[in-house]
Amino acid sequence: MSLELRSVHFRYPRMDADVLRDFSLSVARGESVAVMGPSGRGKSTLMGVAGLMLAPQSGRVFVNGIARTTKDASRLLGREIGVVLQSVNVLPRRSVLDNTMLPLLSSGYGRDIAARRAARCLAEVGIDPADFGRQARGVSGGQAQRVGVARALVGEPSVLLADEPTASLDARTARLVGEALFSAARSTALVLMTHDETLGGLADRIVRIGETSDIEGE
Amino acid sequence: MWRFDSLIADAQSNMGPRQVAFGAVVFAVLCGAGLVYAVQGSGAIRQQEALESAGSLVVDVRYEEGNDLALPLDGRVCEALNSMAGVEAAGGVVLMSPDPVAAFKSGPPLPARYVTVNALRVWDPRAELGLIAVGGNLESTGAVSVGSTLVWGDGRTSIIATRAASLVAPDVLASAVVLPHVADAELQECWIKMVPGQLEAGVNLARAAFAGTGATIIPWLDEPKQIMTPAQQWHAFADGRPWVAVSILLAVFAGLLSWTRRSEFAVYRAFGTSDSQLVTMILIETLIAVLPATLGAVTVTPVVAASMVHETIDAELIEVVTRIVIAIAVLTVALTPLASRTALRGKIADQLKDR
Repeated sequence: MSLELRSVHFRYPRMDADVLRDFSLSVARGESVAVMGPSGRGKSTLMGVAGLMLAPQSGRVFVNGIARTTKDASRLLGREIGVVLQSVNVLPRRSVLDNTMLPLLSSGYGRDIAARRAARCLAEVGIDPADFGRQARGVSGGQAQRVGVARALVGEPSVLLADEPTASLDARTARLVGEALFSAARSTALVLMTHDETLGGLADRIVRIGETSDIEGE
Repeated sequence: MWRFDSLIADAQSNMGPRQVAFGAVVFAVLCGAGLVYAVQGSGAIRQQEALESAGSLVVDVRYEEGNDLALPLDGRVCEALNSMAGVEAAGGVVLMSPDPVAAFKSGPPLPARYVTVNALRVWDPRAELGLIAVGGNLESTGAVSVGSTLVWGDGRTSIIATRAASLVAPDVLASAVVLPHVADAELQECWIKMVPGQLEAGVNLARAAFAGTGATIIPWLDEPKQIMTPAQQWHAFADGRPWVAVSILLAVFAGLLSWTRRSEFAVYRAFGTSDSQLVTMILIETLIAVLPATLGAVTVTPVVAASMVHETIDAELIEVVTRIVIAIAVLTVALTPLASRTALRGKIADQLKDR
């Protein structure tokens, strides 16, 4: 399994109830899972835990079969784990290409190699090469989110976590971004947090959380 | 792991309006702080110079004529002190009064005193030695002035060649015609001017030199202040701590600017950039912004300061302004990552929503 969450409990400080209780999830490489449920019921928390950005009170997170903790986050994020967040998360004054290269640069790659790989990923998510040099603040919301997808994939991660990647987009753009996401991420274990039934329907499997009083996994 | 050259290149790419604004504020603050230090330091030095002119570095050794146990002072001893370490000048007033001297033949006698060769130099470092001088107060009465002819009782004449010291000189010099005299004479008074910081040593030196004479030995001013050299004064002023507060304020400002970039930092964190790498990047960005501001302030501030305090741009002024400006800049750069750390805390997803 590329990603496995085993009996995870998570509760925020000063909160009475668990956000995640005994939650387990396994996703293989090439498989896509949509985690669906209403807003505020733990999807982003699940993403934080799976992405090693939040430490669960109990339970384990395995990435490619190895138990990982938040201490591994800076080493794995951008390499083994790609993250697409719900906000349009680009650096506005940097070019589209620069934004996409950043994970590779942070991994110690030279600019030339990073630029080539970033260009390839941008093309895969449908960004016109003529736009590679544009400042990110000048592109549309849909394009910016596709840049976010390309950036999450440029490090060739085995796990891709996407948190409501189409939440801030109109229906047509959301569909384009969703298609680009599923197309580009076919070689990863894709975990998609969404409350969009259409987008979730594109996944191989759907896991519903937070629809009863307790938030539990499969 | 970021390569350092990639991190520098990325920091350069991040330079934008925030960093330019920060650089401009740093430049303005550095110039302001440099000017305040220069102007206040200059004022302090002028105060010290005024005190020095008033005799704050002078030890007064006085023969009390009414004291039967006291002896007149030996003029040779007084003049010999000129060769002692720590003594800037030493000289005194001869006990014996000169023959009557007037401004014109049969005119009323003018007040006149003999002094040893170096006496005038105690009160005016630029005084010419061995010349007949007129005291400033006497000259102001119009009785005589520089260039006037003096007529002695036996008909000889002399020309007044110079002016005796300033208005703050002792009355015995300021209100008389001052005539040079060889050191081989008894003195009523010996003045010893010490170099800055050596007044106490001067008192001890006088006690040793005039031991057994029963002379009164006291500093010329009742409450002498400890005088430092101009360089020491500049450094003492610059060693004050206000600049630390200025640096802290600048660093807090930089921290606030970083706070407005939380979503930007969250993007970096989302692909695994560690806090320490982000801090390094902030440090590099701060350096890039502060460096030209510092160079500009170092160049501009001494010129403006010199024009404000009506002085030439001397080495000490440049040094103190440069020291202060660089000290503030270095401390600001050092504190900024610390002040910026709070911008790196919190959940990445929440920070991205702050956009």
